[in-house]
Amino acid sequence: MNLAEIQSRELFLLSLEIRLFWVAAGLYLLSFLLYLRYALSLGKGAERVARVTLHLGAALHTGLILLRAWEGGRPPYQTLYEALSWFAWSAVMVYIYVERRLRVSFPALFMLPIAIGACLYALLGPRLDPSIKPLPPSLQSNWYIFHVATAFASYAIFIVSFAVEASYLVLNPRIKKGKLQGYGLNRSNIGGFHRVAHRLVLFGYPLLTFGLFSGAMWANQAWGRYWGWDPKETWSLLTWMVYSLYLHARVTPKWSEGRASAVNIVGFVAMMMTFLGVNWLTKLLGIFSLHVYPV
Amino acid sequence: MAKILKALSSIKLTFLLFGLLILAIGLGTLFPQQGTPEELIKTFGKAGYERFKALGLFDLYHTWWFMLLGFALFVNLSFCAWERLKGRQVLVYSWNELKRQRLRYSSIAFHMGFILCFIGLLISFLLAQEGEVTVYTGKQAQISIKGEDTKLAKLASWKIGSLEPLAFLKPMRNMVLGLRLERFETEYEWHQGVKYPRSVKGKLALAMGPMTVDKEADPYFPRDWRSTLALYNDGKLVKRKTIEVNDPVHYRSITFYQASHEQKLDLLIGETGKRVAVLSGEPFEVPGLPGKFKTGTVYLGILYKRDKTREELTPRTTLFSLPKEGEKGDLGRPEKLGELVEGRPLKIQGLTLTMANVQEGSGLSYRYDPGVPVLWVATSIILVGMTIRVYGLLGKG
Ligand code: HEM
Repeated sequence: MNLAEIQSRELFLLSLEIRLFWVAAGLYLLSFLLYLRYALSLGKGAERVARVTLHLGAALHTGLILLRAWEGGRPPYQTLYEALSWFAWSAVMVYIYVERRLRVSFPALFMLPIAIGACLYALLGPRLDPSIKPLPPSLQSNWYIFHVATAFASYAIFIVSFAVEASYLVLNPRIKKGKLQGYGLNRSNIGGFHRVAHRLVLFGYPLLTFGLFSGAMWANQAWGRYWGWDPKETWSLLTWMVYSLYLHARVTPKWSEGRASAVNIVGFVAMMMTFLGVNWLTKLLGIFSLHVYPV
Repeated sequence: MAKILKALSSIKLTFLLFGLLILAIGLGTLFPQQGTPEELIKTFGKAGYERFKALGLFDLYHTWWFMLLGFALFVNLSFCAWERLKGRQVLVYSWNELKRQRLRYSSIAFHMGFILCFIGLLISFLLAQEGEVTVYTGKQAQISIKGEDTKLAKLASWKIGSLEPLAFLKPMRNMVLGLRLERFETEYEWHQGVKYPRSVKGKLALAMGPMTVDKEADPYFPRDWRSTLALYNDGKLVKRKTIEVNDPVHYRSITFYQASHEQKLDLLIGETGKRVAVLSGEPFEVPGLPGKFKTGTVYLGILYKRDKTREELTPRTTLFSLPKEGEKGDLGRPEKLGELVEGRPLKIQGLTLTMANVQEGSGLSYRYDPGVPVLWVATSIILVGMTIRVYGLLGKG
């Protein structure tokens, strides 16, 4: 193929991808509305359709991720556009797994807005460029695969943990007052939400730790220093410390209930700061960072 | 005494320290760290600058109080470990025992890993040194790691009256390394992005309509920089390696990294035989022409093309004229004047300019850090220990 043919093939694939990405985001939105209908009116039918819609969106999104991975010859989480798409997709995948185990769908109401928000930001963000870029020298390393994959896996798990914890915080007081019986929830099984949120953090925490340490190893290999108090590094340490606090809170009698829930929520906020907030923070305050996403 | 010990090993103190550290770490990201006074005064004003500086907010992570917090956590962690291990069997002699108690042992292991991590950080803090050097192809440079520049040396020369109680921490000896750049190669990849609108409306329209390639953007995307380095100790060749970003060279505890590159070139002016020496990216003047100029990056080396073929690039760059400095000192955008290609004259206002003699220099950074191996051991222990511990807890449901 000559240059013109190669480029027109790429343009075709890219515009196909963007259109299908819109469809996936639309399916997520529809699914959210159906879950909401279920939560407000106990329509079992709505819950079933919501789940099917979510699965359809997830399947389509998986296809798009695979297409980009194939085209780029690497996992697609390099530019902000790709990272946002991956972020939304991985949260949805973890959620689907957890919903099957948990058999309760309330957390979707917290997870889906985050996933939809990430998709829309990817599609509409003012400075985002969706084309596939070559890997610059600084990213040409096996660490690119492992470090980012583990960090994103932990993000996805923490989002779902947050969604489960937030559902617990919203539902628990109502269940204690004897409401919401029809949803199969009662005083004895609602505590399961709090425990599932904990188990998810237990899963995500070593991944975050690996992300943090492998980041230091990579920085040492690429820049000659393992830690530089760069805003991104600093926020990842902060996030990690908040989740460390959470894990310790869960095994400390006075802290294991309400305070632990609060720390889990703070952990989620810190994680969002690490992922996205740092980009804005550095721009807003004019602080230099080596880690800001290329757009 | 017993009370102090108890307080030092309490998990309440851990919570407190974690909380304080989280706040301090977060605070530090709201202020630029280690900026120059001029920049900081511009942002915060003179009074603000003085006030925040006094609090250490511009170099928060190196203030005494931040380090004290970190050190307190280290003490707390050590006391906790001691409290929980004392009087208990710590060493294990049989595999079965280890397997039976794997959760306890892995927990011990990774908390110990953290203690080791602190030790590694301390070694780095006391001994690490770093610097940067630019070497041109075929040229030599020398770097020295000086014992007296370390924090350990400062500590060793601490005086009470005429006494130096820490003098036994004698600074390490100096090390001088010779460094020769034998070869420097650059590689580029041809890449053109898409024309992607910025506005929401434009993006929505694009989702419906056709897309086009952005032909105006610079298509040379850096793919690799590679330096072949020869290291000399005492005049003897001790190591030779081709390094690139992500693949440095180690010698003893010193590591050399590919950090950047720099280019020099000559501009021949008309037939006059005059030449201007130019550093790419830096402003320069041309006798006979008004104003200032600069060049972009000079592209040379190998170009990887989209059809999977490659081409040796004839050195080329873009020539810009710089706008006159406005009254407020703000510079507008540089204006593109044309393409400079080696051996091909470019006419600017009746004067021909020809690029010649392009040379590339390799920007290297180096670091001496004996704490790193300790940190890697600590890291491995922490990761393995934590994984077993945490996933073990999961298994218990
Ligand atoms: C500084 C003093 C520290 C104290 C007093 C402390 C204490 C404890 C305690 C009581 C446990 C639960 C029981 C057990 O391990 O068998 C625990 C577990 C754990 N610690 Fe620490 N720890 C400290 C520091 C750290 C640090 C710096 C980390 C870093 C991440 C950490 C990570 C963990 C993890 C991941 C667990 C397992 C989670 C769990 O048991 O739920 N600890 N620690």
